Amino acid sequence: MNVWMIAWFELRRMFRARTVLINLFVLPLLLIFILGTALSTFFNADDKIHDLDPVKVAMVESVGNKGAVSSQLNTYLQSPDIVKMIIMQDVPTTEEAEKLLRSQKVDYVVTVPVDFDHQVMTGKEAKLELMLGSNRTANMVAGTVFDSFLDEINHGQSVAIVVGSMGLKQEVAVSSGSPSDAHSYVSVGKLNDAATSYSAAQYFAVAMLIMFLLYSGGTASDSLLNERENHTLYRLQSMPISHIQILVGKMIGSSIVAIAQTLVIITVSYVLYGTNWGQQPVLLAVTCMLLIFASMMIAAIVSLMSKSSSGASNFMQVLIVAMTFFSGGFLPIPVGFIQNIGEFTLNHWGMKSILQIMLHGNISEIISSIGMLAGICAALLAVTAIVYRKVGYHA
Amino acid sequence: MNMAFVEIKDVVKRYGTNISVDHLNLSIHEGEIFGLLGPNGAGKSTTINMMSGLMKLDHGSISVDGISVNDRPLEVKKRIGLVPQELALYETMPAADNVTFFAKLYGLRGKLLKERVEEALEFVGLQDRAKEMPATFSGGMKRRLNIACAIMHHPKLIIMDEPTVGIDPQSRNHILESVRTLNKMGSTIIYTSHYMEEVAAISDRVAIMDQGHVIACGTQQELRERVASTEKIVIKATQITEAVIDELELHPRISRVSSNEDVIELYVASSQQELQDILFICAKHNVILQSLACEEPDLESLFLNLTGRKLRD
Repeated sequence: MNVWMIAWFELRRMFRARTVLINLFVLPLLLIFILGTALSTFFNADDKIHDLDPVKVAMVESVGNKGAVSSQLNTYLQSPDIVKMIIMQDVPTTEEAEKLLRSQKVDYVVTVPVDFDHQVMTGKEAKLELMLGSNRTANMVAGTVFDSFLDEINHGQSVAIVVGSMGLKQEVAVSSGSPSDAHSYVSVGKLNDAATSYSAAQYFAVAMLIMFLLYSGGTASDSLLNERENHTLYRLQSMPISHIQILVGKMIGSSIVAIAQTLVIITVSYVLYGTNWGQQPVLLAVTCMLLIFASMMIAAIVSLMSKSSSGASNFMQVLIVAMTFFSGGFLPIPVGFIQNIGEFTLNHWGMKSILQIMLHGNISEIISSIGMLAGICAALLAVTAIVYRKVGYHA
Repeated sequence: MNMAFVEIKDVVKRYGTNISVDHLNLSIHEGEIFGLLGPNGAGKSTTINMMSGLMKLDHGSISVDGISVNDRPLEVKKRIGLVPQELALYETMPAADNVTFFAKLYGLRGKLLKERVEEALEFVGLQDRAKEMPATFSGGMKRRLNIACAIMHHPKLIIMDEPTVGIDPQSRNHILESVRTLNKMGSTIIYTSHYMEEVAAISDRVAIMDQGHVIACGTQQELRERVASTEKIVIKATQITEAVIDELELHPRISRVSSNEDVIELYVASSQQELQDILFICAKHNVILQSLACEEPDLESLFLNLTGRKLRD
């Protein structure tokens, strides 16, 4: 009963502080709006993909290289999906192709090496010589198309290495039949069954929701340490209530504020910005609850180990901003090692789970992300228990 | 009045290698105002923390109302109202909300809760400021609210740890009067201070602590009798030099000499016998006397007599 008394008082105190209310409820919605609007070009929303102009590609095919693999490449380039994206132009020499690229008559140049077929058939890595133009988007589109083809060819090679050259010949034979029978190397499709990919507003709604849920841990940590610095913890501990009840009561109070914050962000972002939060409210709720729990555990650890609220507050801020940055919460960062670091953050698994929920993704993938969050929560709970036993929550 | 309400037996508390409380024994009777006097660092606050169940004992035992603090701390805490030395208030919550919150933690509910909160605020003279934030209060008002937050559950034992630190004389008098009233209402009071005058003004019995020990304990009369054979002479003068102090200290029948810029305090067995010698020494060193008084020994004299130091040194 005393736990709820403390939680209720904590809630009343927090709702009385205007700065807390602004930080917890207004700021995230403002950030979702600003980031969603300003960075929307980083996201290829469904309705924008067809607005891309086809890329003009000059292809130089060396004389004497007219084998099965080259013919497979031609078949691939003539497939309907690729034709929408790539306009091919055969050019006899590399020099001529380069001139066309310099004069911006083509966007991209691909040279098929003399020994391309031979290399592939002998089990070596398939490589095309590529010359990039000045248009980044065109380079990205053409690069994706040709990389996809090479990936498929190299996959065939792997098969050959494992099952022998007959395997590769069979692969090639099958795929070099009629164009209609050809392998579909690239599948242009949607990220989900409902035919919507997430928008910038959705992405940043998720990122900001998670960041501010973690900030609710920062608020809890402040409150725990202020109780000590204002000597009210001393008074509380002189009362017939155990130390753990005080700690848990304050955590529950902060968690209720975080739940209210979640509901406000989800509802207001849906109403104002049309953010679609998917059709899995239970899984969404579980993900948010795990994030809140994790942030409370981090707050408890930091508060128990810190000597001053300013030190704890600085640490929490750096930790939350760093986790949001590495998980791509401020901007998706296509840099391998940053993404690898991001996988060690709560934000990564939270975003993965909620974005999958938004995209009507595979349930098992959502549950796997939630499982990771639950694992992190269990580890944080264990650390909190150890720290509490060692240092306690004392005045 | 004679039953031991708080029993402290052979209590030891260490901080690393430092002993804060050293084999302390005390009995505090039900219904009395017990003054705990001592300089800063004497071990008063540590003793209070152990008595209130806030700190574990390294050795010994403490019981309150017959209940062991070690074994049943929560039961003991229900019987105690602790007024901390530091202000322990939520400054951004109204005064009444502060008292209500703490009262609820003592289990008060409903009509009784409302009555007790109003009663506590009225007792400390803050009934008209109940809806205001403590952040807007003066130091004295905050001190009074600090008391209200510790008494609304009518505790059998009220522990006040230096409750008058840093406040104006008017608020101090109000608090001291409150202590007497609370005692008349039936609470046993433990009052700690390093202000000798406060403790002397309200306490039935006094324990003087120094370096973790009780160096004297009893009624004020009993304690004064211990220094009854000593008289205190206070000389106000100018041109007090080290030479005059040195010579006074060398006098065989002057037990102690302390001085500052314009006051010399001397402890002697009989002022009548020694006064002539004292005046002679002062005249020899050209000390210009402004006033001279012979005083009854007080608790300060006792502390000085026992430790050779002043309470506020």
